[in-house]
Amino acid sequence: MLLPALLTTLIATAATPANRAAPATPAGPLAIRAHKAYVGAGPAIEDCVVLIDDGRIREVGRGVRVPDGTPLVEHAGVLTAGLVACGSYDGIAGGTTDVTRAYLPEARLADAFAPAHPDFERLLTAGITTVVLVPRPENVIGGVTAVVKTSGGTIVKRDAQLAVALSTNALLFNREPTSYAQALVQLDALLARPQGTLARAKAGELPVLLQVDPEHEVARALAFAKKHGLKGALYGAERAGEMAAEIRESGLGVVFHPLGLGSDKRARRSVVALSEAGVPFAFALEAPDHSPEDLRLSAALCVRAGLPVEAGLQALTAGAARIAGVADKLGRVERGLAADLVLWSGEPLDLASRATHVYVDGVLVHSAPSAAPAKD
Amino acid sequence: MNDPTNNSRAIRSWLGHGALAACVLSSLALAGDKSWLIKAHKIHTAAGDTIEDGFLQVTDGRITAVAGVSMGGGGDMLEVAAVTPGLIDLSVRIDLGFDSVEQSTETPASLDVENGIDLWDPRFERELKSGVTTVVVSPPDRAVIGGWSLALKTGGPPTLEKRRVAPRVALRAAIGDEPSDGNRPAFGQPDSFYNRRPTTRMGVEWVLRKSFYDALAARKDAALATDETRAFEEVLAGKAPLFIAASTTQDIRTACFLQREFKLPRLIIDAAAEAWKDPQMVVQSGAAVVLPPFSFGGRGGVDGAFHAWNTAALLHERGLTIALSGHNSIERGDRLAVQPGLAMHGGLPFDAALAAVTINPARMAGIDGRVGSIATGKDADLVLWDGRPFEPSSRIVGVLLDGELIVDPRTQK
Amino acid sequence: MQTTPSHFFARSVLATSFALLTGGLALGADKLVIEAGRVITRAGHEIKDGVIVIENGRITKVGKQGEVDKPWDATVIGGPSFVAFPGFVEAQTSRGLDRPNENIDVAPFLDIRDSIDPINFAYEDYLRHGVTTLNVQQGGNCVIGGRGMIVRPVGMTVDEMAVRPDYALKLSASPKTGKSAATQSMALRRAFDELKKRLEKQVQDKKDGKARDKREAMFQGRELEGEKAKGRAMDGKGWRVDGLELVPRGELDEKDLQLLELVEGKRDAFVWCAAAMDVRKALDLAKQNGFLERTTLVLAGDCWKAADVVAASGRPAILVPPMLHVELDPLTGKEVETSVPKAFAEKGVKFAIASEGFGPTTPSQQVLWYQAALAVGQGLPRDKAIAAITTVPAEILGLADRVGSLEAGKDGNVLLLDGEPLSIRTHVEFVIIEGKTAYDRSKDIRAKHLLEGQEPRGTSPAGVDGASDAKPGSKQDALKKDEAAEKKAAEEQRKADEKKHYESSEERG
Repeated sequence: MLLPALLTTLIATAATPANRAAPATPAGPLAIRAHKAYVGAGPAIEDCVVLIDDGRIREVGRGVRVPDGTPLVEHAGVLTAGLVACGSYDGIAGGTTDVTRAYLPEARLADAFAPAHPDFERLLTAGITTVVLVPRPENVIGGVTAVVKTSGGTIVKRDAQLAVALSTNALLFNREPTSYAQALVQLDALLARPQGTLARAKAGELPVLLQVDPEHEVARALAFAKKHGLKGALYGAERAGEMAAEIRESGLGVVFHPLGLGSDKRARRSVVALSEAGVPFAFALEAPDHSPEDLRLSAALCVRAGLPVEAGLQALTAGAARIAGVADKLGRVERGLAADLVLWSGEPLDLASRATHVYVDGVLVHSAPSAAPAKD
Repeated sequence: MNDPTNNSRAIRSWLGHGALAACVLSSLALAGDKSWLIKAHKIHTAAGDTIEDGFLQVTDGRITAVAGVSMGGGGDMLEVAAVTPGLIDLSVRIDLGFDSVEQSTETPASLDVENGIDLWDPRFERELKSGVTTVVVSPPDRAVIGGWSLALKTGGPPTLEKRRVAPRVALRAAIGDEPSDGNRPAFGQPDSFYNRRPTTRMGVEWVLRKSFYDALAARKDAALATDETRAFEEVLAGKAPLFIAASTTQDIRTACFLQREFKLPRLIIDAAAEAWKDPQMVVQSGAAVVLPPFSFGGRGGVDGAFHAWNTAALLHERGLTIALSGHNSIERGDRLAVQPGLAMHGGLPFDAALAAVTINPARMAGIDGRVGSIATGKDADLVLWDGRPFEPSSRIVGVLLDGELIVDPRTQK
Repeated sequence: MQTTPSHFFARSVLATSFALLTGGLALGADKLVIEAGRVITRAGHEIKDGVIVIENGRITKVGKQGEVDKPWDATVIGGPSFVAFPGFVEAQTSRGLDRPNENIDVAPFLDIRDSIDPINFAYEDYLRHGVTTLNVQQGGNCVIGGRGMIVRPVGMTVDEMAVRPDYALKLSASPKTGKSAATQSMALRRAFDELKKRLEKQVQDKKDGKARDKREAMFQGRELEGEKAKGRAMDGKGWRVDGLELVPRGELDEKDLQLLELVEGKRDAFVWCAAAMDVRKALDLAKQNGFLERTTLVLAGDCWKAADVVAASGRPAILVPPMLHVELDPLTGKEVETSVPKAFAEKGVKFAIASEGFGPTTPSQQVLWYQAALAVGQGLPRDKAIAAITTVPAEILGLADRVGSLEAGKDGNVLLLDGEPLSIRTHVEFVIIEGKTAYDRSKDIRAKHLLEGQEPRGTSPAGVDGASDAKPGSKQDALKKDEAAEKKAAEEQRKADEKKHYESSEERG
């Protein structure tokens, strides 16, 4: 039996969109029963109950008993973990680039994170609860990325990845280096006697995010990572699927640029091929250049090109969390992880669906102006 | 030879009919897949002789036999009018533009261009299908000494390991307009990266000479040695040639002066359009020259140089080693495969024209052990023609690269 | 005894190469016999040991040696080592103009004769590479360009060069600089609409008894007598203006005459199409305005995609280089190459090949026979390629009875080649235009500059000039002597230079 979605008045009023930086009320216990839930690995669970307390998920499953007195939200649609955008420029104070120098290994994006930035409102409406703040690829080493929540001002991980752009975008015509060859020579020199974040990257403690685009840049990055034993992911790499074997061998993951409606078939098939080769992958959002819905659109377009729905959802949630290095904290609907949840009016990868309710750390931070249309 | 089962097997796998069949067979008989018997009315070996009505055996990517009579053995038969070695272009200019050359210094001599090329560039395939199987890629001429050139095949798996014929085949330098183009002095505060020397040809020449003087100084005092002086030392010691772009008479003269001053054992002058004006000077320098594409009117060279039709013939008569280049033209009438023809129009004998796109460039780049002529043991890089090679009216009906059939004469109508 | 034309030239003062190239027409004999080991009369037709007799500029006989009566008083040229071939015909070119494109959008009243520069190197190059007839048209960067002109590449004045003055109009179906495809079409439509309106107004004025047009014509001093005093009903298969017979033709605005002739089907048109999308627009425009049957399409490489459309129209085409169309496949990222002439040949389109390229000029896009040879190398049958630079352009230009092949009655335009036509090793040794030697390679000073690597005489710093006076004798001897002198001079120059080098390097070192 399906019930119309119910929301207690109490919780609905907690979603005051003005105050993201510091939610006033600590999250009390809450239960959500969804018609269908994609929890992470494995098949979707029907009539799934999620128990939340203190901002974390306490219990997940069909038939989980809701303790007396715990408010229950009944949802006729689909529940997923909050979406994770693996690269975005949103919510960064003072822009993301400093073009005066090519190497900024000690720059930390976490220091540029502005929790109250109005950009985050837009991300929440699209069900995005976590973003990886990355520098634009205009420095050969752009700094250390940070994983942050779009609500509550939480920095999930202060030093997530070291961003290295072996990209034509980082080769400015009036700053050394101007060539790939010199960039590689200088990077090799820096890694020969590594210090600070570079030392941590070389030791395998800090993953790298290699910002590259065409095939030849990918090939160069793979050779570079191999030479120095670096772990992490490629970022960009539109044709990565055509080099899936080499990428799998490298052990690196791939973060794709968001795929808009204007993206070509070759780019979408590339994602499918990479997925079939078993390479972990996720999508970047690159807001504000892209609209927040482009994250979901990216996965949907790949599903259209042959990607299994589960793989598409993974890339937006658990897979993305894994590449961002925060899989132990979020990305799945699983006991002990952060209660970042999205209630969708229908299938999440159906573009007609929308996020009706978004919870971050167990707090309702967004609800659609009108409740989800009731189903009989 | 002509074993019907072998035939059909190879055709099947080549055409990719039935992935399963190809898969099974490739594991069973790799050698069979890569075996070819080529029958040609004329085999121009570029090794000193032309074999009439001869046969060529290709196995496992190499030339295994060349003979005037059929030698039997396996492989599919290909029958064509003429065969030449795969062509070699020393000045192909397929790079990533400014991203392939470091401009923060005038002499990034220790850099390798191989770190700045795109093996997926469709222009490589354009060259391959037009018969060019090996090319030398150099840094663009925006720095006085741009770094190391490399020789690579135009096809095959897109990895440097697979395509590279030899790294560091020459140290690239440039005179002419380009290395100083855009440079300007700073008035007051420097406002641009291009506020730097050199701003003239004489400045460019000075940078070159200073580099070699630094290298000579480093010979005496090891403390002065840098990555750059070590690169120049390679050239001074004759381990690698200096590959210098110089088109006009004055630039060629500068190159010859440099050779004389520093006794450079190996000098190659690229795009040497006006070498005809004073060939003796080039002869005395011992330099080899690479000529840019010919034009009927003689005009249109780099730096406005005048490239006479008979430049190749004239330099050949004087005993110079010449190579021709196509500069990766999109226009078929300007590509390397017709340049020997245009040189013949200017009086160059056929054999010399053939050598100028095969064995000569191979020797200049020091890769003649693998490519540049048709000889047993060399890479099976071959061009198959339907008529006299290098005629604009002849067609390249087949191309083999490392024994792999890239263009199939049996499917050309 | 054979006589080479050098006899005639030996004593004439040929101070400049130009006099050499043009002098032939003034000095040649009335009767010329050309002997050749092979006479190729047209694609696929060949006479071994043939003879061509030219009298008063026209071919009177072509046949086998021994079977043809040779006039006793004719000059004889050639020999068994030569191949005689019809002069090449360039169907369309904008070379040899001071500037090829007029910026006035619609300018059919302009005449290319005012732009032709007879001493432009282009005509010398044409001659050197065997082109004897060429149609000079304005460039394609126009809406409606001026009138072209068919010329031979010899003569000091435009009148001497003229084969057919006041020839076809050039139109462009592709956008002129600064226009979009849409505004280009709009400008073309408007040009014809406005013509129609002006004609209708003149008819109406005449009916209303107004005499303004007549006064204007008289004021301009136009001819209003005879035929010009008569009106004539409008012809043509496009649109018509009723009552035009009321207006004496002399009273029509002179600026409208050429376009009116076009609409009446009385003038040829060359319509430029840079892309396949323009082909249908070009044909529609020609049909609507009555000049389809006089239209030749001038097509860039991309137009191979519209080969069907061209074939269905039945109109001939002129293909301009590059002969190989190269395009990037957006899905695979690979280059796709298409042989343009082969694509048109397969659809049965009648086409000529031209030598002037579209897009950035590349080194080889200069020579007509070279483009035809490239077409052969891309799968066009050899006969078709030869026809595309001889008989087909002759037909397109309406000169099929005069040029393009070697037959009695045609103009005496003959090439003597030293080998197989279209071969890269072949050179044009002599060019005969209308029975007179217009070009002799042994005297071509600028070709020497290109071939022997020497500066033209009079410009060289060292004393090369002394050897310039060729004495009567065999061509080979004269050449040898020249070479020896030139080599000697070059050697002296080299020594002088070398001395300078050493001096300067000492100073520096």
